[in-house]
Amino acid sequence: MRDPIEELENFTSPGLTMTPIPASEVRRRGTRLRRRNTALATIGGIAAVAVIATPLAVLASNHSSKADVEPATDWHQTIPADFPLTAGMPNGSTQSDASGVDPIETCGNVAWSAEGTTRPVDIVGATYGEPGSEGTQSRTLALYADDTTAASALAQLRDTVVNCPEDPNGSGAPLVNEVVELAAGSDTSLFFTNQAKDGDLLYDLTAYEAVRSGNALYLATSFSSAGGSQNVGALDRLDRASQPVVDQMCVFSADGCGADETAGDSADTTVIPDDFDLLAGLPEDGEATDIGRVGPDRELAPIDLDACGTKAPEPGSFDRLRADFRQAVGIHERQLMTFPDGAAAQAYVDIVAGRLPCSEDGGRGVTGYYERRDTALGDSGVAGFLHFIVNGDPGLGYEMTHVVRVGSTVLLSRVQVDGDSTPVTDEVQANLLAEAETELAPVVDAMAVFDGG
Amino acid sequence: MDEREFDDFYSTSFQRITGQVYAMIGNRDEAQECVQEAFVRAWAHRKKLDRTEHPEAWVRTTAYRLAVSRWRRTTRARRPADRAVSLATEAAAPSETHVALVAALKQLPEVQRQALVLHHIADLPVQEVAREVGVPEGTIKARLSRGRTALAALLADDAPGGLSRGIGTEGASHA
Repeated sequence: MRDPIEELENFTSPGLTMTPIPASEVRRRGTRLRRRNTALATIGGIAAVAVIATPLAVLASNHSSKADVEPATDWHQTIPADFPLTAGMPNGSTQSDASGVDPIETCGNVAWSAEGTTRPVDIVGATYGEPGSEGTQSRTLALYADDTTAASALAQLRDTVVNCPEDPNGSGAPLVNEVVELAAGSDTSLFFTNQAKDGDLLYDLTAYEAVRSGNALYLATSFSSAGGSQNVGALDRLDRASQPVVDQMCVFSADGCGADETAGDSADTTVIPDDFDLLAGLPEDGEATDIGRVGPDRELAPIDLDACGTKAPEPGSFDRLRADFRQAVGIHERQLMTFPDGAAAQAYVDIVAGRLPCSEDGGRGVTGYYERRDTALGDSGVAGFLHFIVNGDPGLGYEMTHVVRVGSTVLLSRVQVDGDSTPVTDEVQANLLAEAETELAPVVDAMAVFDGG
Repeated sequence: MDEREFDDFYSTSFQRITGQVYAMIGNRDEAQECVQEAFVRAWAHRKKLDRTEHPEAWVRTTAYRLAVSRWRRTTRARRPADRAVSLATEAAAPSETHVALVAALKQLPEVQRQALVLHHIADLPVQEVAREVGVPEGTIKARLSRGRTALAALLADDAPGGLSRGIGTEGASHA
């Protein structure tokens, strides 16, 4: 046997004849990523919105977004007549003042619809081809009252699709949904496919792209009867075809199209410092039987929020920092996330809060109750309290969750306590939550640095 | 970093970094995709890259973190890794020795594998490895020592997964 170190030092990746994408394409994707990230980011752009003249974002007169989300912004309330919605579509595409994309429904739930409870204030659509035929394409640009509403529409779409990986589809073939994180993936975009399934065969693939900029939501689809491995590039092709439209969506952002490259330099503030004191408020060391502090560390697995069998969506945040305080009797988990803007952060909080309250039958006489409580922490937030009833009596253990937003940053905290035999009355819940909030307060205060504080 | 400088950086270091990340994670296609994505991010954050003393280390670290997070996400979702945006990798059959080495690396603890790859494949001095990983030099020395010992044992001719076992051993282990 040769010396293993010699083997290592001669590691030359045999057979690794690669065909990387051209450098120009790497730069194009990087520029697109930067543009998407910065066009909406609170950093620099939102804070400066009061002093940056945005030629196209001042048309509406009296509307403003939530004061606690970001400074007042006058959002477009109409789509400019020359907006290039059909750019990149085949010749023969037709444009109209109605949605080109059909309502998106999956597992019996409406993921997005122009006729839903949250209606756009303006909409245009474009289509190519006969519905259901090979190569059909459709697009919609929906303008909402403000960025928060648009972010909620996108979050609802993401949430519904993520929670329906397979739609039984009644008597038809089951439909599978797969969310794909392309390079630009974040809370301002979503890419997924929907395909029919017959055993191992996948067919009838519809590719979906959704991109938000400010109060505008762009939706695009393409259909092909081929699916699975026969059609692996569908999303990428859709994304490329949409690029001319997406590039122009900056006109709907808070800071218009003028703050592009240079504003991007301040994007570093979305990066959470490695030494951010995420475990502030907790003891320095655990008891002798405890593991104590772990992190902060980006590589710790993200907190997987689950209520009544429904998972919270992947937050798709810019950056994430995790830390734990592990004890023999339970664990304190904390996760700090930075989002593109306050609206995206609030949309995530709303999705998580929307799952509560609920109850879950755990079998063997055990029922878990996920209560919803208010919290005074941060700009907005919600607290959850999970306790158990076993054959009519209070069960052991409980779990407390806090989701707290400050500007475009969200703190997720979960405290799990095993085996505590204290009956969890409303009063006990209130005291435990108050105690947890006292522990969290220093972290929430420190989050002000991401909000220009 | 202007376009020409970036293109030079990309063309001269892409294959090298991909090889290093491949050694760290044991999956060629995944390594290539993650390094590609890391370069996309490098261009998106090129001002920051300009301030970085070691841009190649920045790309390598970013690619490695992407690979780790993708692996976790894929594992949680129980679905195959996305191939929708990747280009084909033309891979000739690797030698048995190479396969055994990759298989052995995959059996090492993550931190030992990372230290071995950065020191022996990326050819970084211990001090640089410590800086890139973010731990004291002494910790890296200990990881290297334990990693070398473990690797030697795994590659022993009579060990399961050793060189004499050849190609069939690659899928038998997982990091």
